[in-house]
Amino acid sequence: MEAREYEFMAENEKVTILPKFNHPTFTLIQGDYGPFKAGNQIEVPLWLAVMLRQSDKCSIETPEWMDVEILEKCRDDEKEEGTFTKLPAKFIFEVANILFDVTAASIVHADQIRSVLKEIFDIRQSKLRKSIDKLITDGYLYAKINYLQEIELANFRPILPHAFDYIQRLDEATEVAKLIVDRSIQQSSMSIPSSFNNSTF
Amino acid sequence: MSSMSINNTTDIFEESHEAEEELVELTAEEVLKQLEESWVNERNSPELLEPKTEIVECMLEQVAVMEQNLETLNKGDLRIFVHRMEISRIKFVINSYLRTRLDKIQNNFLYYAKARNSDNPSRLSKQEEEFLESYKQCVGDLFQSLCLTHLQGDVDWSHHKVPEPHLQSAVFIKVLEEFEGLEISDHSGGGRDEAVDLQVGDQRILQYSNISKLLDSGVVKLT
Repeated sequence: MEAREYEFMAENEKVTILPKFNHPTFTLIQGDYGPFKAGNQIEVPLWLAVMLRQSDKCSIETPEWMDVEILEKCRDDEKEEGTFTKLPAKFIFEVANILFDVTAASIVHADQIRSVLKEIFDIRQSKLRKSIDKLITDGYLYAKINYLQEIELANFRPILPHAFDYIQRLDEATEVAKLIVDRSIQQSSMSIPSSFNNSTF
Repeated sequence: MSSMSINNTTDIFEESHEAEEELVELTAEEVLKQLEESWVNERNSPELLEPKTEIVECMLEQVAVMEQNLETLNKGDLRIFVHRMEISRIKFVINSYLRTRLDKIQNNFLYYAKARNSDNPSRLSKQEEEFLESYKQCVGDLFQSLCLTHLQGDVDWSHHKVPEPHLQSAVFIKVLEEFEGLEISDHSGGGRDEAVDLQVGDQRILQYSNISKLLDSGVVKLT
């Protein structure tokens, strides 16, 4: 699965918007949203929020977790912990990305938030690289990767499962080769006495 | 003014002859969630999974009803854009799901065409079976006309080993229900076999063959 498909899934996350229009409830297949009253906050899926924002029918409220202090604390926690920490929101990177694209002007301290998020992402990527290295060199058959977001694996997805597979296949082939060599050693050691018997003195 | 109400509760399991099957009612929202989950599982797994035909058909029905309702609205109504966007999203998921399955069938058509029995039930829907048959026929005809007729003697291909999907591929899983004692078997015979306990919310990377049964029963999902 590709990064774009994870972004598609992230678009189902709920965000709060401030509509600029009035409208009765939308009865969508995925749920009812509304009624919309100008000036009253309401929660909608991200894809709907982006659509309304782009036609200038609403403004998107910055999510709670998109705050410099909260994110800086996350970054510091991430630096201290050896494993991955729990991030404040599911699909945090995708949602942040989409919001920056669509409504950067209305986010307070947008640049700072962007750089802190990038730092968090980079710290986690380097942790991921180290643990994958360990997984491969130490020959583990499985690994625990709690609190890792799906999109962080996007860089590794094309190659990691393949590398893992090939190492397992090579291991299997080595075992088979060992068995064959063992058997042929046994067979050749059994045939030597018989040639002795055949020789005449 | 036309109203846009759709039936939000849909029976997706009809009463059948078997006594064990219950009548399950799910809202359209829940069916959509299940569809998305099946889509992700199918995209990430190396082999064909159980076909979720009821879910797909249910969503297609919902989309058809919605499109019908949209016809009756005035042009330029805000509702049209919103509903059309949602319909496109649902259609994208269904498309991707069905195409992924067809890709898998095409890449390993000889494996999936082998005779099925009760130990190994077929995981193809009726339309997929038809697709498989005609694909097999086409490829067979192509090979026949291209080279087999020019080969001397009779060659019997039925005993040859067929390419199989690689069930030892590494996959990423997310645990939905607690499970104790998952056996991780080392296929290279290196003695690294282990039993692992799974907690809800855990995420792991491991070989597909170890968790294929758990995936079918919904204990884990692929991610």
